Amino acid sequence: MATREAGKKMIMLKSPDGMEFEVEEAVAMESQTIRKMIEDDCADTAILIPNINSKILSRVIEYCNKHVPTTGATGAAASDTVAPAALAEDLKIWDAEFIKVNRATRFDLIQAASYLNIKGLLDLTSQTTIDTISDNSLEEIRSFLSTKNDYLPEEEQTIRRENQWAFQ
Amino acid sequence: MDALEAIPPRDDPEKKPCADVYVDSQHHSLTTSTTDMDVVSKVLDDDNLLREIILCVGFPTTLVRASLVCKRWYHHASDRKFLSRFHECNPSHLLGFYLEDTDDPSVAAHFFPMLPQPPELATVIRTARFSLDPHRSEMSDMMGCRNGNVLISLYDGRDFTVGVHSPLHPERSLVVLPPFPELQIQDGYFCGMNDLLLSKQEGDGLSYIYVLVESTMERTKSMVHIDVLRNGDTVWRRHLDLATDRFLCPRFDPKAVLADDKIYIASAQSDIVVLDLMGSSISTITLPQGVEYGDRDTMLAWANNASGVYLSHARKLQLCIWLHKGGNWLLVHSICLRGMVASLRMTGCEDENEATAPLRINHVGDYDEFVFLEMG
Repeated sequence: MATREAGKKMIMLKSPDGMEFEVEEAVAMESQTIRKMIEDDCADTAILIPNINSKILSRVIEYCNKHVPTTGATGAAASDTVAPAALAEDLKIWDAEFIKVNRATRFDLIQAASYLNIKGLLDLTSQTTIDTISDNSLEEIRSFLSTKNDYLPEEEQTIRRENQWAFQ
Repeated sequence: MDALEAIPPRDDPEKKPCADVYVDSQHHSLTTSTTDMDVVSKVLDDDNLLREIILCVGFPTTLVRASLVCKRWYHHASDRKFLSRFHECNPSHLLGFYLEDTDDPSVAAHFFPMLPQPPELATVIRTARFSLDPHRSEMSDMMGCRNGNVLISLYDGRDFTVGVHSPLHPERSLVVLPPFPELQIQDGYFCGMNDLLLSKQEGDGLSYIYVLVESTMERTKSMVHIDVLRNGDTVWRRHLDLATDRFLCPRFDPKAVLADDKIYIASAQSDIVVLDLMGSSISTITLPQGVEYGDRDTMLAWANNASGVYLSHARKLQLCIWLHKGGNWLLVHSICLRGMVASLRMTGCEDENEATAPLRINHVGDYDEFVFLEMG
């Protein structure tokens, strides 16, 4: 549990499996859904996040903690010493490590990012998923996504023929 | 010299805010995943999430490949609203340009890729690299590019026709447009402008608009005739006749543009005549204060992101880009080219003396995303 810093408003996030996470309000507000609840005064000091289990919620909080813009006294000091480009590069490396998870976790994260409306996390998880399309054969993609091919062979051929420029 | 751009095909974008997709997804209820399969299909069965994922493919080539996963993916990837958002999130790349020597018609236009390009676009660049050599006997001349098509003017020694070539579909043969409509010039009138051809995307192809302006000998009144060749049609149809009590003095330079069903034609020293195809009206815009048409120093381009028209104007080593919107000119960019000239070490262009530094605008890309300049 993070130590409570003076002057920073904390908020409690609860997962449906009974775990509680105390986070800075600024971190929680990385989620537009939570931000709206706080701004509309719908939020008490504790917010129940329905249907996102503690394992996924802790990963989401980890992501938000890393991505919250550094402001205030400590933040200003950090940006004085580190160039913005270096910070962005650092975040990119961190993201790449963060998303090295199994398929189920990644899709859980997509759902959570969508529900909590965290654009950066949704982009990261979607991008990682779609990168497999560039790197693998169609059959491999379909099996990775558990999607059934419902094209007749001639239908697939027609699309390939009409869009030759994308395949040649 | 004439430079033309080649860009991958895209749909007419309609504005749609990027955050739209989240509105619905906020109301979805999620359940804790039980199995691996469950969570994957839960995400992929959600149309909003699936679109969000497909959006990340980034390139038109990978988008086409993604559409082969299954029919549902194809349905999303080919939806107009999705495509406009795709274009918004993944702006088109300038793949390269065609260059021809207008002084030497025996040399056909050739394609020059803009390098470096991401590997995903390598296939498109290979396909776009075509030559007009097969049409050399017909004295071909490039007229312009639109949505992946190249318009070529063909001359057989007697008549001009317009051919449309699709470099990205080499299997399709050159389409020759029907001859331009003939018009009997009225008594007491002369033809102020003919052979003005514009094109716009319609469905999966192009529609063409042919404009002819006739004016009274006394230069007091003008008539504008507009014919349209719709995508798939084989005959030109008269769309509109517009009469005005003003004398229109249309220019060929800078080239006219079509934007949002309005045709912008440069006129006189510092005017733009606007023909509204839907509202059936003629109006005039005056160029920004102090700007006049000179020797190839001005270009018009259509504004995709805002309904209006861009004006690029070069004066000495200063390039100004204006946007006409809501009845006013807005100076969007003012770019000093002195640094560029110096770094390119272009001899004869170092100083701002007009006599030694002629700066001409050769071509402005759609959406005003790039400008080709001629110097020296």
